[in-house]
Amino acid sequence: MKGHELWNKIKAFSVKAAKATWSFLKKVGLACGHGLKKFFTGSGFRSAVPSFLSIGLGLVFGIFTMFIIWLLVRWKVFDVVNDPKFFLGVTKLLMGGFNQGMYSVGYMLYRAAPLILTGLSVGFAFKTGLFNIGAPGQLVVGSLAALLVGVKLQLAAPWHWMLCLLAGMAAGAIWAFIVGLFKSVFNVHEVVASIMMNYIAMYFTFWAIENLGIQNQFCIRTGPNRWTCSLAPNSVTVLSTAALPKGLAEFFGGYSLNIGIVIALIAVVVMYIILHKTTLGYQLKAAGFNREASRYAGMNTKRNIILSMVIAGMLAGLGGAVAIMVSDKRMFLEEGLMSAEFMSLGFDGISIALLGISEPIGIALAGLFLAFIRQGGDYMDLANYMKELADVITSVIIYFSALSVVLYQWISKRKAKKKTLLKGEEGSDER
Amino acid sequence: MDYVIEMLDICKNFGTLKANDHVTFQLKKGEVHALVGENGAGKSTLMSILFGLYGADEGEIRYNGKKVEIRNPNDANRLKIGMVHQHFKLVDVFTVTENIILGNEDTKLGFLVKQNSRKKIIELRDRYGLFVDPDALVKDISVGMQQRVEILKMLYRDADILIFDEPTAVLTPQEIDELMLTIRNFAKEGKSIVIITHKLAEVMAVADRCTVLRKGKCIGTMETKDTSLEQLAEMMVGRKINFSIDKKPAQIGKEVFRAEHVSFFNKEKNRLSVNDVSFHVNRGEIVGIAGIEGNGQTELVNVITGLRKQTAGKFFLHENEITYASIRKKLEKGLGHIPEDRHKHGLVLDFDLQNNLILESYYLPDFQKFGFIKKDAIHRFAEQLISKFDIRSAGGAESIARSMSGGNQQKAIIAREITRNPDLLIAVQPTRGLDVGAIEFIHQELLEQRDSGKGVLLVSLELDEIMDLSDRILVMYDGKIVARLDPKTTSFHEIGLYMSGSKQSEVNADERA
Repeated sequence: MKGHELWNKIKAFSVKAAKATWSFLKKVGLACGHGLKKFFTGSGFRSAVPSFLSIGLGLVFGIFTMFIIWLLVRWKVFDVVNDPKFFLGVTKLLMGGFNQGMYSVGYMLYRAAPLILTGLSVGFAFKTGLFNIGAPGQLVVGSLAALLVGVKLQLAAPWHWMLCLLAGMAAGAIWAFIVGLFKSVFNVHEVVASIMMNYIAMYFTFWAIENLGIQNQFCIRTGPNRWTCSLAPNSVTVLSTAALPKGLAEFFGGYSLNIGIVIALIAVVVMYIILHKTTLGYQLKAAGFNREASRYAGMNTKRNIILSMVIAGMLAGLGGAVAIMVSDKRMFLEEGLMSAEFMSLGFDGISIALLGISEPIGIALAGLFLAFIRQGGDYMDLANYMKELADVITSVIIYFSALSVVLYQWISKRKAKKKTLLKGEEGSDER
Repeated sequence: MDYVIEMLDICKNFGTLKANDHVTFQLKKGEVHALVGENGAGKSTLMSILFGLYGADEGEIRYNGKKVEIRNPNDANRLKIGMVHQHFKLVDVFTVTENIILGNEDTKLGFLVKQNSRKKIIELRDRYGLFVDPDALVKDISVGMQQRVEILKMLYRDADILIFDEPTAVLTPQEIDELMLTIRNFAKEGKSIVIITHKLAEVMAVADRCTVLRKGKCIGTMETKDTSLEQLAEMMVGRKINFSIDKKPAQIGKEVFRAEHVSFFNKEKNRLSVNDVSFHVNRGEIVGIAGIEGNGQTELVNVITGLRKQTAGKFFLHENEITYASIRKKLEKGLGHIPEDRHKHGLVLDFDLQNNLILESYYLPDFQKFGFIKKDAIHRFAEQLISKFDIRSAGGAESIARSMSGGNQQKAIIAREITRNPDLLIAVQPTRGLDVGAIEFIHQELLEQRDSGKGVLLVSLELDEIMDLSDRILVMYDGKIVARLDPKTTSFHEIGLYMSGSKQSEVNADERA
């Protein structure tokens, strides 16, 4: 009897639970469906279509190039030591960051962190109507500041690397502040000022590394308990307390993945919130779309220019800090090599911002993609292709996406023109 | 039949938009034919087809009864069709003669020979009384004279069919009278004339017949003498419209705004654009500033609102000096501004409607908390304004401003400015390029502001608008206020004389200041 009652109860309960779960799932499903529908039909997705198209076209172009090379070698137009293997090369390229399982995924994420941060820097400035071509300079001074703090100060672990990050951000911010100041006070175009600041940053860093005693010691054992140490030319490493912790490295094959990617993703979220949820973002976007209208509405455009440059500089500086705060990897600097690599990291930011349509989430995806395809390029060595092919492919992608922006503008302009011809019957008014 | 031009069943589509939908237009020899309709009715499109700027999708054009193809303006020239565009197509740094012969030059061994052309131009000028110096540079002569250059250009090419696109938009009343006389003269000589216009009074004054277009369709063609202003307006708009603006007598209150000896030196143009201007606006009145474009009205408004810095002078908003206040301070203290260029200043075209409606108030506690935007509050606010001001758009509060029609964009700006409840509302060309319905609405709103005890400063190039709405009229010429007039006692003629600078009174000091 009791058992029967209990059974009934359980039955009733389970029916109820099943119903509730079903309706919950239905709701979730509907919400997801709605969300997906909104995602795919929304303006965000639609404006990302050119980016996806250009990625596709770029890959096709790259594979086509690989095929041509393969053909030319087969037809003995070129004489090479190792014949390229076409199918293996394509596989390696397309496998990208998945070539060696978790290990290469980890390396890809490690690589992506500074890319995402510089992409955010350029993209944020884009959104507010500024072209931050100064990201390379800001990145370099950011890494220099992080390096100085990371070598010269003796501190306990979490505080040390946190201070390094702050130093990098501050340095980048100051570098960009100067540009913003010139723009808002003297009306100097930010591109001109930025390019000059880039050179100043580059040469200043050369000088600082050679003269501020932050190069690595290079020691040779010259006898029992005797070491002769000298400065290793152009080689720098932060102290181990200043290196970014490697939270997930074990999981990712014990390699270089540090919390850089976490920092980058936090920055993505923060930038998303600033751009879309705050009055600051509202003001900056208004100024980006129409500076005159934002002035008319009483917004302080001069302050906004400086503020937006400072934020952009902070992001680039942070990117520089993240890139250099690595413990077990030395950054060798043959004359200017590090800076050149770092400078190109800054310029990559422009491509990423373009590909990610200047939206934080888009930039995160674009940064990951760039790291992915470069990773793929590295593995193409195995198929006797040069890894620089990956750079060719990314360049082509950037060209296509830049072209698609121009094409898109051209088409919408033509549409608008037709419309104004109509509306502007009386000619004049729809300027 | 004695039709010199027949356009039969013309259709022209731009994408999905039917600019001309089976329009038939017939022009008799020696008549003045007005082509009327609202903005976007398809008038200019039709004439552009006749002039060879567009090809028609359907329909045919007959010239003296014979079917012709007009593929480009050269074909039109050959058929002796000439057109004066609303925006003159002149080269600023060329002389009048050079502009007239441009594209039709006499040459000898590849060298330009101007003497004969100049003689012909002088002959034409004297014959039709189109006085203009053939050796002056176009940039140095007035807008009225530039129009004469355009007319001479047609005559120089022996045009028999003359098309005028909105010829009176840029002229003073006196210049309009002269132009009308000239046009009648042309008709007497046997030339056929088409005037594209939306000003019905002109149609009644000068045209023999008129054709009304509405939304791309031909509504009808009639003899001017058989019709009336009211009937034409109804045909044009599609419903009865109220011409007389319902205007209660002004309840003039205390002074709300005063400008004292304001000057502005325009560095780009290297001239004193605003020259020692003083005036005041009281509560409960509309002060209208009349003048031809480019006489300092735009610059005056820009320095009042803070978009540019005045060279000298002071501003007071209810006795508080706001001369050096920032734009935001001015807005907060009670200034409202409907800007002249709604695309450049009034709207962020890539923002949606709701974000445009809070452009000046996004930072108030109503719309933000700790710097975070209150999306729901903004949306609710936008919905309120949309229903109150009847702002129509495809996507409601979320529609992108760029996709909205001009009238609704302007409504959005007006909704935003009025809702901020300013004590002084500055409206610059508030009805520019809008259709009759929107114009009526905006005029009503301005009057409502006046009647609720606000001061309104109206700057407009449309003299009708100034005369209809203002309680006091100031006329600007060459950066100065040259007349302070009462609309009840003054006339179009008198204002016109002041506008063109041919009459000046010593009124530069504000009567109260």
